[in-house]
Amino acid sequence: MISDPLVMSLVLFSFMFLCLFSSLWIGFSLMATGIFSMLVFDLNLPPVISVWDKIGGLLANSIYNSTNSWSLTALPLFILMGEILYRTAISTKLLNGLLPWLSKIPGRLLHINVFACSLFAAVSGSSAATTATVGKITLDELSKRGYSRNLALGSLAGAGTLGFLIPPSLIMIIYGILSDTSIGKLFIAGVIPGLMLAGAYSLYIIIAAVIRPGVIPKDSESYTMGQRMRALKDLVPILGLIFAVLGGIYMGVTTPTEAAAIGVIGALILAIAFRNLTWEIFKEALINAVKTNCMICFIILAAAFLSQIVGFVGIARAVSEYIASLGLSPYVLILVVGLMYVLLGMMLDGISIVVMTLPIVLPIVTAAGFEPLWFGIFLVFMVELSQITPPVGFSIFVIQGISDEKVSTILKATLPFFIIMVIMVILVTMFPEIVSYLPEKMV
Amino acid sequence: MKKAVKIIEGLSLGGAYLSAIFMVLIVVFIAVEIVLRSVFNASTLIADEYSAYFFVGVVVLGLGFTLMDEAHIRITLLTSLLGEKGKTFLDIVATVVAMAITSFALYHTTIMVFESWQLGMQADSISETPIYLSQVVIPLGLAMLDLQLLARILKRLS
Repeated sequence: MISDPLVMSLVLFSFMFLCLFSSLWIGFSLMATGIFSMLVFDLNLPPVISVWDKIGGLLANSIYNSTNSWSLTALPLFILMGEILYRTAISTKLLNGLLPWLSKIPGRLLHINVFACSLFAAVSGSSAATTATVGKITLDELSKRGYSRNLALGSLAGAGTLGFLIPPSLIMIIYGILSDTSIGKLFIAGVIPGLMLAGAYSLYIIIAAVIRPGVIPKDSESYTMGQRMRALKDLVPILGLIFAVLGGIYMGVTTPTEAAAIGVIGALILAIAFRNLTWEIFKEALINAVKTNCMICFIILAAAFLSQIVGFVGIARAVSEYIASLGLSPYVLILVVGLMYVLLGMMLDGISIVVMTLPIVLPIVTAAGFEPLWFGIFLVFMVELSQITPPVGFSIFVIQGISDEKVSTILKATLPFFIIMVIMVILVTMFPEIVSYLPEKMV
Repeated sequence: MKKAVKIIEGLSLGGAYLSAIFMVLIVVFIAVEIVLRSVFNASTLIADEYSAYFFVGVVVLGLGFTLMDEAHIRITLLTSLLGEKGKTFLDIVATVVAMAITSFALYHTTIMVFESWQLGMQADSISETPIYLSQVVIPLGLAMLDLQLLARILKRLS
């Protein structure tokens, strides 16, 4: 029996990583850790209550309370919307609509990933969906036209992660629920950092194209103004969908969950209009959404259980008090937290990192004076970094699947974009107004 | 044994279809609510409450199928270094642990549903829906997950 919460937290983390690395599913690892903590900690329960009943009660309640949630209902709906859009011709439309507009910028078509991902991220909640939907068409197209493969792969990996930063965002929904922050505000807070990151990527591509002209093909295509205007009509569907989903949230008319349902219906209408919708495709999209949603929600309900235990045993308080006693300055603290996330992000996927660490990390950073809204955006950046860091990086896996390139090639191509993202994190930390400006203007 | 696995996998697929149907119902429910509110200035009053109930079903009924399709994530970074025998052994150990936890959760969620029913607990809302109705899918879904875990062991052993 252990009675010191600090010793307990070390034991808990060791046990958790033992479970995780023995390939026990992440959700089950979290549950096992919760049960284990209750058994080894000196709880001082009155003798009439059996510890097993106490654990079982907490577990049953966590499963029910974390799934019986109106806010979390937005999660499967945004996933479903992405699954439907992935199966439509929307990526071709994006390419055709953007193509004529990029011919004058240095780097030309290399910007397609950045622009298409930014637009698609505004209707998609996940980085994997954004990377896959945009990448399935742009990578081939860029190679065919003789653009640098390296920059094409790197910009796709970097810009694809905008799926989490530009609203709607699955990570923000999960963070909003766990931290009791307004999901609508988080969504809107992500807009400026997301556009700045996209701008930084484009700037890098421009510089690369100027320094090394070899990255783009010699012969350039030119378009007349009329062609450009006609191309715009290919962008109308996606712009309409963005307005339908985000407009209502920004104006305060719809909740994120309602916006997600509108998004599903909008995606269905587009699929019908593009003549992509068959019964088979609809079924496939639904079943895939069920799988992704169950995978995520299983981790969430397991984490809800573990976080109850962490609170019950007093670990969260003990660790935050210990950190506070070190007297770190806020910047040093956030640096340590950031490094920890990058390290965790190498081994775990983004959603697991968020749900596992939040019960302990959030009280620490808010005590140091950081706003929960700001920390949400910071965390989204950390998750984005985890998507493109080896050996476990989901965006890397997605790109490997669609490009047939070696992981090492993709990683090398992604490095500059990783560095740009780190610079953005530093900027957002030094100037938190980047995050808070738009939400404060919200109705 | 093969037949048992087949039946369980059929059950898991059925669960996934039910989960998908609940998902569609949520979309329909919210759509009706939005139309009522914006066009007729009325409300179903229960759209958010029932969407959340359906969402419980969406999650728990699809767990077994998600396992069957290898979609629950796990870290295979270190275990992938093991040999074929070691991998199979660890996989069986992990599945047994998962089964123990699922059975434990199954037992306690069944008690939770039974108590909600026995005490006649009702939702704190206009609909006054009995709470056990929204909870009863949980033991159902966990039982299916348990069976799918069993099927996994059977497959590994044969």
